[in-house]
Amino acid sequence: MANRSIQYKVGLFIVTTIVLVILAALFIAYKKDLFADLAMYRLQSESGEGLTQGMPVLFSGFEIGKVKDLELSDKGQVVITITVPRKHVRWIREESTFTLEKPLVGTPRIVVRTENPEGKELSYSKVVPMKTIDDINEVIKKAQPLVERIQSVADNIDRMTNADSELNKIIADTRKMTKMLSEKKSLLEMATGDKKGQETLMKTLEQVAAITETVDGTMKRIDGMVAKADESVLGDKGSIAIVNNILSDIEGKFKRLDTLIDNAITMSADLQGTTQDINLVRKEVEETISSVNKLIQDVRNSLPFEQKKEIKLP
Amino acid sequence: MNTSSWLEKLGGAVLDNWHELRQLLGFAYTVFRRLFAPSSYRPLTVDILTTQIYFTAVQILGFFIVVSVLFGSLFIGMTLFVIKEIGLTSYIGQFIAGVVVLEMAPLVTVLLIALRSGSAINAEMAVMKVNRELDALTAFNIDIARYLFLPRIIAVMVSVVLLSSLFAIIVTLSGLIFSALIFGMGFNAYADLIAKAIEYKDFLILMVKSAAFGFFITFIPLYYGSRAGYQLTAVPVSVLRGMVNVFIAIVVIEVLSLVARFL
Repeated sequence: MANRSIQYKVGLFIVTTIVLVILAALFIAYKKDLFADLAMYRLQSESGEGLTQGMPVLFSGFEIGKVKDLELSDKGQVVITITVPRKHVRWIREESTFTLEKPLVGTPRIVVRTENPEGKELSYSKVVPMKTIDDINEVIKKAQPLVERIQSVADNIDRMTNADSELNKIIADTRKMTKMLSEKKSLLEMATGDKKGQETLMKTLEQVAAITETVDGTMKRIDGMVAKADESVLGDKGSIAIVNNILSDIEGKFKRLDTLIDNAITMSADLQGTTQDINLVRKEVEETISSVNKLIQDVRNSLPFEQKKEIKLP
Repeated sequence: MNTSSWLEKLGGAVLDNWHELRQLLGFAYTVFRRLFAPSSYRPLTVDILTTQIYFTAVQILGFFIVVSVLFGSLFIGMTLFVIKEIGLTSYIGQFIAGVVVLEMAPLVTVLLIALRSGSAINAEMAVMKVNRELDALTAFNIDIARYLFLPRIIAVMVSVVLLSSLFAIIVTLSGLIFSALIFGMGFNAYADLIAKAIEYKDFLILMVKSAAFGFFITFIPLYYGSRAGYQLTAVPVSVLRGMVNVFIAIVVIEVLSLVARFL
């Protein structure tokens, strides 16, 4: 029989390890809210794709519950029952939104969003519709135009590399040109096709050079003429200087003329005043004559003299 | 070599292997029958069982804890560092639950026990065979499967299950230290991550896998030890064959457990 010491050590080892395992299991159970009071809610989805029992329910990235059950309703929709520990119930309100998110990497999850945690608590009897966001489909949708562009580029490359393509024709032509160039002495000979043509072209070029020389000389002479004309027109004693002097003189004369005109205007104003004075004198003379006439008539009436038909005015 | 002799050799090899397999299955059947028979658990059997657990688990406990802390901490530390570098911090829990608890804990434990106790049991049986002790026990009508094999198998099974659990707990706790150092993570945050990643089926898989490891790393050495020849030179040959088959059994169980886990 094994001695008591061995039995004690073995017993202690077994009991300690089993206790540790049980404690670890209980701790995990506690952390998994296995002993917590759970509240249940019901969600509704058009499809059960991506939904599994035990799927996490997240709020602000923190797991607050799990999917407990999935069932098909009479209307053909999926009813999802989720459980949430009582301590997290305040995040599940009537206006809370539930979204099934299927990320590109990682497991799908139901995400809860609650704007007002003080709102009315969601009731089990109310079945809340759930939205779905599928990252993979979103990526495919976004990548579709890119794939189409790549396809288009591939088609273009395919067309370009086709045996009958323009690119291949250009390459073939280039090859021909290179071959021709290697067989001819110069590019000119290749371009004209024969030696005579090259010689003719060379002669023409020489003639063009002679013409250019002549034109050059002519241009030099024209330049000299232009320089002389420039001197006679724009020089110190040129036409422009003389015209400038004449214009200055005319300007001075115009200034004097302006003074004369001003004087004439003043004189005209004075003359107008004088005319008005003459009118007044005339009026006074007329009045005087009229008074004298009246006086004469009075005298005539007073005196018994034959009245003469004519009266001599003073 | 003509065709008929080649066929003869092939047929001979098949028959030999078939014979070997039948004997192995017969041996397994005998052990299993004793394993579930209440009459097998007599005071003497329990006494041998206790001694075997002492030799297999308690004697190496200090060494095992040091290995667990050192190896586990280094492994966890390096892996958490890589996880941080590639930005997969949220998968710490899955990594520790999936890799450390389910894969590394039983594997490290079984390798240690197989190297230490499996080879010792194989050599012990082979020596008993050489010394004709097994024949003597049989001659006295003592059931060697009940008194020799069963206590050792159960003891190793229990030891591997308990030590694997201990390893998982120690390494998970050392993960706490490294996650605090590398990520500045508190105890509650770490515990939440681990708790959410570990499922109860993981506990079950760990226990069943460890028990299966314990069974085969004892059963195979016992079989090959008890089938050794009567010469002293048969002892190393028996240990060699036994340990190679133990290694194959470990790989097969590991693969089967992975298949079972992801099915």
